[in-house]
Amino acid sequence: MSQKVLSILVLLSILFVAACGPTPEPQTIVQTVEVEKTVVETVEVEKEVTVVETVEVEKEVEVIKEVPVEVIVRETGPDSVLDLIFVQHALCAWDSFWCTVENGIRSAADDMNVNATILGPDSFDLERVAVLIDQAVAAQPDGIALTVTDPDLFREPIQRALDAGIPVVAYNAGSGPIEDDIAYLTYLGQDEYQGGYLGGLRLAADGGTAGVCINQQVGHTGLDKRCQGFVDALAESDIPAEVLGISDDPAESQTVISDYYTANPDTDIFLTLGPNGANPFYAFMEAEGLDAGDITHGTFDISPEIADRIRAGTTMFGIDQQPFLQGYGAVQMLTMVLRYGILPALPVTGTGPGFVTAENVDFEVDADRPVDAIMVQHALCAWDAFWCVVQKGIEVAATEMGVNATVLGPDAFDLERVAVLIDQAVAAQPDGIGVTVTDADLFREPIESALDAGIPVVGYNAGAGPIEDGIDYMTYIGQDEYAGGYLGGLRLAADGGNRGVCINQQVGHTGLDRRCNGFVDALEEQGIPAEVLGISDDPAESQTVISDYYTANPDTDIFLTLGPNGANPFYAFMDAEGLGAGDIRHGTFDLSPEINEKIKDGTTMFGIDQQPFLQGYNAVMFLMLKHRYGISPALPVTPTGPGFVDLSNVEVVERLAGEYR
Amino acid sequence: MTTIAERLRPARRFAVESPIAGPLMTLAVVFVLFSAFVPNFLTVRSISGIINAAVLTGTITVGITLLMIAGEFDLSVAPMMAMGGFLYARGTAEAGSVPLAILLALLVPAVMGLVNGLVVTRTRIPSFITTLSTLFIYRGIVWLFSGGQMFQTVEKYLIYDIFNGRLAFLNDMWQGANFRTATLWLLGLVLLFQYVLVRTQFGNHVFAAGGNPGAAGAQGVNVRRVKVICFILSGVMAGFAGILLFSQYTTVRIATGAGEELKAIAAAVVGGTALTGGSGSIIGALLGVMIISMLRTGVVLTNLIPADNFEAIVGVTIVGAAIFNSWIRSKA
Repeated sequence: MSQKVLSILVLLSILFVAACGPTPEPQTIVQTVEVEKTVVETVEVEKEVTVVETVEVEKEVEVIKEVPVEVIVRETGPDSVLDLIFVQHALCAWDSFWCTVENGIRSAADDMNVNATILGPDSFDLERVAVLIDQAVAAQPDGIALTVTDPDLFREPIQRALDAGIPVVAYNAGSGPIEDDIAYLTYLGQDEYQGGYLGGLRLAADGGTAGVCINQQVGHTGLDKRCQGFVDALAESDIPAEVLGISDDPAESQTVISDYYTANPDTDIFLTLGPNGANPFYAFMEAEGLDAGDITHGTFDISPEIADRIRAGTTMFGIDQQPFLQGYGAVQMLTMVLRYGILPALPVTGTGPGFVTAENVDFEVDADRPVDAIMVQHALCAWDAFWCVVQKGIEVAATEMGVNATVLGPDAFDLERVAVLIDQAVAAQPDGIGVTVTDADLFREPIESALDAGIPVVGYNAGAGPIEDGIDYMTYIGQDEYAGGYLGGLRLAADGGNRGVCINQQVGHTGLDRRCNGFVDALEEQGIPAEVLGISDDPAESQTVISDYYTANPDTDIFLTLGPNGANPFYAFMDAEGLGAGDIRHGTFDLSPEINEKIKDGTTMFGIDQQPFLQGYNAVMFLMLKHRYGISPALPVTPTGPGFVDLSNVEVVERLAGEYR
Repeated sequence: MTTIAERLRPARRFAVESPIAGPLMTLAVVFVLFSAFVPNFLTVRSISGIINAAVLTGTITVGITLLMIAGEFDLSVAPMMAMGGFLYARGTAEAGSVPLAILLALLVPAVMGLVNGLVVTRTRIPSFITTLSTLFIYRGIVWLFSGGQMFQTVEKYLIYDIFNGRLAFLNDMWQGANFRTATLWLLGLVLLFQYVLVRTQFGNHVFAAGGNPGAAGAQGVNVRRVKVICFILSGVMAGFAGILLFSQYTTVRIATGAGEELKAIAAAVVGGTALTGGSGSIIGALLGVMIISMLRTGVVLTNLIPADNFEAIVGVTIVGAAIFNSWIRSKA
């Protein structure tokens, strides 16, 4: 009976929808989009969004699903004004944590000239969030960002967005596309293990005898990862460390810590995982009469108490997940995808750990603070075309964010000269310096003189990160070679295989070896044997080596080449051998006219791009974020690649080649 | 009635006197051993692969060997090869003039060789040092010429097939065969250079200039001129290697051919050419290239050692071959 009523209602409302205009469905959809957008942008309106859960709306969603998607997905390019929708499980209106996230979204939307609409429930209700995701899809935006708070519940609505050709990124909550088993682009949030690890490195920097990670919730995956990172970092400095479990009862916890300290009086490095651990820890210190000189302490998160202790020097740092960057980065990622076809490099994009120390605990945010940045690089667009793309990234970021960026470089490849240019940049006292760390030994002194002068420094395009380079700059922005090989290997082995080979044109070159290591690890995880085959700069010789290897190992069906130098003789080998796309699977690093052709005809699954545009763009962005918002890049290496170019985006990439790609 | 020893005398004389006896024996031994013990070695696919892998190094080795017999080294051939490749590439694919492309691809490396030759003969700086520095200088010139960019085309022109196309009628006869026109070019050049070396007056002068320049000069040989010509020929051959390279792979990079100079010297030595000059053979050098190529293929095919480490085995064998050659020569 009620079913009849419902179906009549459905019919009526469809008629109603149809009556709204002479044009069929697509028109009506566009109208609903308009309505939702005006509705949602202020907080009061949030309640109206929840009103949307009336029968009519459900039906509109139904109707929309029948519309062929391809007709509606808009072509986007470098100059497009984008419409992005953010769906999150909480709102600034009732949870102040989210005000920071939303500020990040708004600032980025403002900088990058995109329209951002934020949707959320008026109280914690994941079912409703799932419905909001469907509504977001129905609105046919250019991109969607969302919190993957419950992957099982959100999997279907997110899949509908992906099926509709809408790029999706996750922020704040999620575990990345692989762990969540949803093929969204990346998850922006804290890297818990790296938080513990990098925190551990800081705490152990001046040595120590024993460390302890005070965990208020043993068994919680995120917290356990933090402790694991901490223990690993200390182990690298030969300092024994272990985990101490405490509870939600601060009095009990204080006693547990005190008892542990009595039993292990040589413990001098402490990590707490948040205010819940820090609070009883401070009580323990007071009772024990310990102060800053006796032990070193770091913690996750910031509370008024922790901030005070950081100022007083008792606590070395508080680790912040940098929610502003989660919002800002989500906008930036989608903008890169939509305008330039630039994809996030890794399944998880770390926004934290961000270290709050005595130096920056009282940082005053000022979104309008002027920023002067100087970028010093070992080559210039004027004489090496590769760099035009990097400089385009610098220029676009500087224009969007209102940063005054100057690019300096030598007239010809001359690293001594670059070192001098860094010195000159320091002398100009800018608000930030970007440097290609082409030669860490040669550039160490000039970069350190910048750091001593209080000027933040980021590395881009060339470098290995502050830890490996032994220079304390913020981060290195460039390709993650191991991840490139690893993720490439996963793609190539997705449908199984018998044997894989990584064709390396320069065995012994650290970057290339890392690519092969990643590839071999990925294949071995799938139970597929894989090894490295060295070739040379002589393509004729290389072709024969590949051919001989194939003769000796005829079951080889997965091939990775590390650039055009390897791909070129490889294609000649395929040609001579009469092999086609169906016989083997091939992926490569980098792009070339030949590789692009082979991607198009299906011979090659993908080319891995380091995305130089993003290197220039991110370098400026991070210097700006530091100066205006006190935000630091989370990790020693901020990857811009691997960016996979395959059949789905090779044409976009080709169209933008030379300028943005 | 002649004794067995007498009947074997010509063979013995050949073994100890001919510069190609050592490499020929090495080649035969390696070939027989690999054919017997390495799976898939004695197949048309492997044989054609061995030959193809030898083509670029072989072309360069022809010029290098001539120069070594004249008593000089040329370490700067790799950037010349890249330069030849770039000029030929841009001439055919961009400017669309095949004759101009070929002319420039041979002429510019020839001038580079001329510069090498003039510096060496006028300043008496050893060619090892001179060409080591021009190696870097020429690489820089290639770098400027290329704008720091790899050049690649996906177009196929007829001229590419002429220089380095598939020999379809041969390849159709055997499955897996990959014989190419470049092999014929190399073969032709080897025979031409060998003829020039042993049958012409210029060839005599080359041996004389390398063996005993003082005596050669006294006999009226213009040692300087001979050496300069050898440097030029070395450049021309490097440029020609660039043409062969681009004709098949339609790709040329700044680093194209890096390390080729040492492979060529190694091949010449394995092929019986003396590092001190005055003795050697173009055919022997070709055999040297073939030996190295055969070893590489054999090692990869056996699958015994990690595939990324076969160069080490090749290196060991180069030393072995060189020792063997000098042992044979000591019997002379």
